[in-house]
Amino acid sequence: MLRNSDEVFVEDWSSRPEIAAAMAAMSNGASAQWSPPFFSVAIHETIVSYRQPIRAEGQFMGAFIPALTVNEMSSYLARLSDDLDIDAFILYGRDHVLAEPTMSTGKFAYSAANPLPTLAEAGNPILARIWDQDRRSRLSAPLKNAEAHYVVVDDVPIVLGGDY
Amino acid sequence: MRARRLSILMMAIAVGSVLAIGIIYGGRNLAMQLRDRADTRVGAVNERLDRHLGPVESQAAFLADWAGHHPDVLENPARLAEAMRMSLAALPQVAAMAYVAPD
Repeated sequence: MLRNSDEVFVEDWSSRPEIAAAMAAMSNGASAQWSPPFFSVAIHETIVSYRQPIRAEGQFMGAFIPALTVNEMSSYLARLSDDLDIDAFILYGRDHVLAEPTMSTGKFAYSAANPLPTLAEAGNPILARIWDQDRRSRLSAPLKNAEAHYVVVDDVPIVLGGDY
Repeated sequence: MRARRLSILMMAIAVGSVLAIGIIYGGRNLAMQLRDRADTRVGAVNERLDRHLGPVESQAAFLADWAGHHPDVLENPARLAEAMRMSLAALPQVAAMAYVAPD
């Protein structure tokens, strides 16, 4: 079911290995969890979904799966960045960008083969150089609750830190 | 003096979500007060993301609990669709909702 449509789609997902694996895990007791990002043919965009198992008296009855698009998440990051006077990004792994404020403009063409832009494709100079320098670089004032490292972009030192 | 601003980086990796924060600064050293400011921003981002994603998790859990207590609804496409539609109404950040049968 799509938000912007009254139509209800009925599809056979039994041949999709990632769905089959998730359903098998939930059938064996796995709890709810977020999925890796993947390209949705129905939405024509990359999405992340939340897999919530349904159980009745201990028996697995299926799952509800709400999905968010990466463009929506990027739009949220844009608002968050404005509100907090920051630049926010969500990376997937070390080399791909899940959400970034300018991605909400639809500038990236998602596909099954390329569900997420790489750091270089995102068009953000900070992201493009985020791993340029050793993340264990010493800082004079490390963050209290996060690791930190720095990069230099356009002669401006940029300190990045986190629990990674 | 160069303008200072904070830049926060969120990074999601396969083993879970992690948070990073970046600070663009004009001085030679990362000042302690900037560190405190950065830590505050990290907390704020965590809170905001929780407020964005938390309701999706809560609503899905509520819907699953409801369906678990009324399993007949899972055999009734019209009622199931109505329940899912109502859930979407409460979650503007969600683009789509699916029910996947166990078989």
